[in-house]
Amino acid sequence: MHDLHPRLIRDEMKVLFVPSLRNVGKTLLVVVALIAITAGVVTITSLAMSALLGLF
Amino acid sequence: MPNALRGALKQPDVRKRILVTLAAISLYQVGAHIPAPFTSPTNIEQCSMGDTGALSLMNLFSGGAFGALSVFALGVMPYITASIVMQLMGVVFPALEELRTAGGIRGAKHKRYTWALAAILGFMQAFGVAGTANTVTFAHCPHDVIPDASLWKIALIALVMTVGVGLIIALAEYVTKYGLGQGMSILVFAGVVASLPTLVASIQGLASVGAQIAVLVTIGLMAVVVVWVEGIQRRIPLTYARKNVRHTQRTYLPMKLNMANVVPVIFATSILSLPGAIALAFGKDGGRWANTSHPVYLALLGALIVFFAFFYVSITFKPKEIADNINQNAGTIPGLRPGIPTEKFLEGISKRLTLVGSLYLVGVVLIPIIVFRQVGLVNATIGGTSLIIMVGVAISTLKSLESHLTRHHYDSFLKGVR
Repeated sequence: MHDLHPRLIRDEMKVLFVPSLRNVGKTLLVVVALIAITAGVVTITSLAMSALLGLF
Repeated sequence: MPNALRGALKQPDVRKRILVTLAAISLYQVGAHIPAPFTSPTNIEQCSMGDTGALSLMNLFSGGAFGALSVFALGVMPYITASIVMQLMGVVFPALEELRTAGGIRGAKHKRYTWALAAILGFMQAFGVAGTANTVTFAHCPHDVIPDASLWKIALIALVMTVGVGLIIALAEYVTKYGLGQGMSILVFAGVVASLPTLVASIQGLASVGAQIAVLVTIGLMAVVVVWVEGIQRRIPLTYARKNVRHTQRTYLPMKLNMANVVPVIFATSILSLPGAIALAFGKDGGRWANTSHPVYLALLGALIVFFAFFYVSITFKPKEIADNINQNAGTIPGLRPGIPTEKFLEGISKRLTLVGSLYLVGVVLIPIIVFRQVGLVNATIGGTSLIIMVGVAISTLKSLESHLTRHHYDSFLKGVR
């Protein structure tokens, strides 16, 4: 429990590497782009499959 | 980024990897649409699945295939469960842990054991899913989703779904080898993305514009918080002595704030959904056990997430091994002697990071649940768990793409993002 002393936790938080807001924005943009690409593939496949299954 | 993308598409090897990954996502969706034999797609379409913890989690990981009782209904869940069980068994049986870390032919053996366990778990799960479909999961539907269900029909459905698990594992392995990033994570990511339209429909169905804005703002804020926290690291400085080099080499050991990733949330949700699932299986009212907005449920969920975060990190993070590894490579942490002092130092840091990281997980999971329930959004497919999965997989996939591009000297997608 000694390792989890509030003072030690506070000190630990002070030395953390924190990404800048700009980098967070860039990463978020990249994540959104990837989601959009994946969503595109998923939607096209879903529509094609729905149409195919509708034939039977 | 557009330049980097053009560069990636010009490079045959990288282009092939991107296409393989996209094709795998597409194939995963194809399997999610093919109904299992003896099921009635028309009857399934007439009703949506009941909202119970573990079942909605399975539906999330299978990209809606579970709710449609398709051949890929089980999605990646049996494999994830098998991997976690094998990891836990490694603690009890050191020989198994040795096999896992061995690599080569022995490492492949461990992989085969995991596949076999995934198949066994998959069959058991599929049998349970098919056996209880009419009476539990789709009990509220006007017509049976498996008409005239007999034992042999259920066994055959279970067998087909188990083959589906095998196909998913093969697909994931193919992506890992010839595509981008880790195959299984990519398929989980695709599953989560596939459930996005359901979320959009749920938000559109909300009564007031204020409620819709509250949901969107919560998701947006949580996404920013997740991206921000997932990038936070404790960088422990390391100094390596090099022969024939005048200067020592300085580097650092990165430790993420959220060391356990999304695993504690999956563990906690699964454990908490057990009483409800058992109650349902015995024909009792499972709803009162799986009331995800009840304060007691939320408090238990939070406590279990913290507990499992410590449990998982204690299994996966080995300070002694890292300390020995640093020492064997002629490295030191400045100001610390090698051996036990280094080990204790790393152990202390991991505990503090895990505590703060687990509290972050509790916040990211509980805040959306509370807000969504307040505004009356039930059956929300996107919550904290899916956001952490999406951000984690997206970043690791981009890093994989970046490493392939770096080999060909192209611009980095994540230039400046560290």
